[in-house]
Amino acid sequence: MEDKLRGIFSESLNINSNDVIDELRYSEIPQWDSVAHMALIAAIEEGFDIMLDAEDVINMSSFSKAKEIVTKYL
Amino acid sequence: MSEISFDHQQPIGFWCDRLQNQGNSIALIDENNDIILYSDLDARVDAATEFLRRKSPRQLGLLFMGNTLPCIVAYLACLRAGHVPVLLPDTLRSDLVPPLLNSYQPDWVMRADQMGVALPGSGLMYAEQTLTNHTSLPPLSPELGLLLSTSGTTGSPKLVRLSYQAVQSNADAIVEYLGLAPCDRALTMLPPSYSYGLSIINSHLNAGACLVLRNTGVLSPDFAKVILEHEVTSISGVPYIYQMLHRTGFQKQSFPSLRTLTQAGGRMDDRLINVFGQLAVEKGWKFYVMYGQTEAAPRISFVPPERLLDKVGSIGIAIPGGKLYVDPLDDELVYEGPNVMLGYAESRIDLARPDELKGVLRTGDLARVDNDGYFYVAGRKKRFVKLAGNRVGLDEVEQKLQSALHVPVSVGGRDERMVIWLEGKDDHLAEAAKLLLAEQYGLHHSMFRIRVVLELPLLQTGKKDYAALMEDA
Repeated sequence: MEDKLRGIFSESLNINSNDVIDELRYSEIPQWDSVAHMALIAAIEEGFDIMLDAEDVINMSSFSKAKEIVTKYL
Repeated sequence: MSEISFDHQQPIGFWCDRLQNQGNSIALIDENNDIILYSDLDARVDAATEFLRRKSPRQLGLLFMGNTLPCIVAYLACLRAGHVPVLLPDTLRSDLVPPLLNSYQPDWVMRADQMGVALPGSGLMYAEQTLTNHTSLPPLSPELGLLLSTSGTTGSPKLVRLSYQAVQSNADAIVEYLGLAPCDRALTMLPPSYSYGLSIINSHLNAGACLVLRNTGVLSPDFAKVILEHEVTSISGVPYIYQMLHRTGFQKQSFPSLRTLTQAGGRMDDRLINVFGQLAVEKGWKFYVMYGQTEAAPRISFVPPERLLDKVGSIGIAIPGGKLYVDPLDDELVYEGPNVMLGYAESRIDLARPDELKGVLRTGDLARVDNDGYFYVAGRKKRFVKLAGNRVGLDEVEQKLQSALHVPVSVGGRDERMVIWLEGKDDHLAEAAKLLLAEQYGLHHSMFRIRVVLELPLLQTGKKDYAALMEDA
């Protein structure tokens, strides 16, 4: 799951997968802005075939948080 | 306080000169939650004005703005002092600044993160540009009030010249059709260097209303908290902000203070207009779908909220004081009004030019009008699309990609979806293009679609067939 999620982050944010670390945080790199965030959410939903709740869309503020949230849905 | 100066022509009763009239009402709640009364704001602007006037009665400067108290004070002081600011986003990439300095030879630069003198009343850092050779420069045209970029973030030297009169009249028109009053309180959700964002600041201060200054985005956990805590009455957004609001469950939350939503900055899709139109009916809010261009300071038309649900997809009717019509010869939408720009500028000498449009703006949009007098934009004459509210020139992107990738390129599309076809066999071309668009334009790849094709579609005339790209949009 973690590797798949890392791949989705790397593709959606257009960054190297080595840079997708737990501490990667929303809006702390220029590539992860609000537009990229919405694309990321859509890609996670498609990749894992899940529908994220509204609050999880906002709460997904780091890669480690994303792992936690996605796990809930699997 | 205001002494008369003869080298610039501000309208009588200019809103930024009468801030003190609102005295003890709240003008701003700043980014630190400090409350700034109109009397405080007026005193701060006076101090900054005094400083600028002592430098010179009238100068040109680059003002890097965010939604902060120091920036708002500096902006108002420029208007009051007769200094002409080029308003730029404080997030503008530093390598995009030198071309602007070269083209415009500004007398000063103000921004938060630079060495300089703190502007009194504001604290923003002021730095004189010593390299400017003033003697060879023609004087700034007397009616010129400020300069805005049409592209937002690309740092293009093409600027829109707006008169004091245009700024004042558009702020008046917005106050009238939105019915703004001192009890209104807007959250700043857009950059102040962006014409839509600026119009919210101008119109609210013109009405004696309050602004909650924040750079908080919709995705911030603080977004709902700020609205609730400061009893925000109005929010505004470009289409993608409404998409985010929708996706983050805005419609399920309760915001008792909210009364008004406004949308501009490109065409929003009908589905989303219906969603927010119906939500507004349920909640008793007014939802305004609007149309404008930076060239008109910027508001041109709006849909009265009570007609929204039966006029979905329309840009509405002209704002008070303006007139809209469709040119029967070529279907181009034409706007006439006191808020139309003086003209464009490419460099400092253009700032001496007089009013070249005389209140008539050919919008570049193709339109039709229905029997009730509501206008509908059907297409664009000019080759640009709006992505996340920002104007992106298709020919410019096409040329940039061609010269970087050394292959023929066609760029087309519609608002919120640009389409790029590259001629070649190598899929790495698409990766290279994606990277270049992210770096040069800050565009996320969800806003465009790239395809590598063996041959670009051409018309029989040999010209590029942009209509063929639309199937990808």
